[in-house]
Amino acid sequence: MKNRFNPEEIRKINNEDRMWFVEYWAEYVRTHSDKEWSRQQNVLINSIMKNAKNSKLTPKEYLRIKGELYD
Amino acid sequence: MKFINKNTIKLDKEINDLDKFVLRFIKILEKHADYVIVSGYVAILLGRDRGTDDIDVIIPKLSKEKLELLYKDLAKQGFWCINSSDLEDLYEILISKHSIRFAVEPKVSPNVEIKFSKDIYDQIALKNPITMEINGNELKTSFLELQIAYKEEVLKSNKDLEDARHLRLIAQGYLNENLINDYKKELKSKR
Repeated sequence: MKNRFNPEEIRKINNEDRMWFVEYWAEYVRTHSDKEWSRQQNVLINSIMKNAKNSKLTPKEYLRIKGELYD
Repeated sequence: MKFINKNTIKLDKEINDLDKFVLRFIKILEKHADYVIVSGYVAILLGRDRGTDDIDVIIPKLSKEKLELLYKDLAKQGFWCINSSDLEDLYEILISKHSIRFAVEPKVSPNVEIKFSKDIYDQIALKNPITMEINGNELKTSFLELQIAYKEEVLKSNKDLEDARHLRLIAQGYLNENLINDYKKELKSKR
């Protein structure tokens, strides 16, 4: 019997969903003015920037997360 | 978005906070070095609906003296290097093919991740940039065929494959498919 919660299957479906959205959004970008798509894109990007700027990470902590702490 | 020619794309987009950060940094960098922006931000600039907290930039190998001038100019205008404040350390990191990151002090993010050009592909990207004209501002990015080939053949994460798909779709009719395939073959043979 097929496992309903097969992680591989869930990952595959998730990837397909993500790619569907990429294609949907690219079509939107292609068929709308720069002003229109960027206005929507900027809601997401400005929110991510706000969170990034509020980060309390120290340089050392940040670089460790990125795997770039060489000492 | 207008694909003016193979070296120029014109955008009439609304500038976001990430764009402002990049433009502020590049305005200083370009006084000291040639540069090309690569990877995720290129796709984001062309409409990809995702964020990033680091911008990848390749510059040619600089002398220690030139790096110092760049570093001092950045520091004067509010940036700090989160890896170190010691120029010897920073130069050592760069010549060992690693990257250094600059953010607006005292934050760590967003940041610009700078690397010295390390191989033939970085050199090609530097020599043949696309100029993105954005409401009176200009940014130089890697040309899209190389970006797509690298993301599809080398990086291959979901995020990179999605970036490549986005670029392929928004630049339909502009891309040189043979060039993408040639780069993919070359990159594959070197792995």
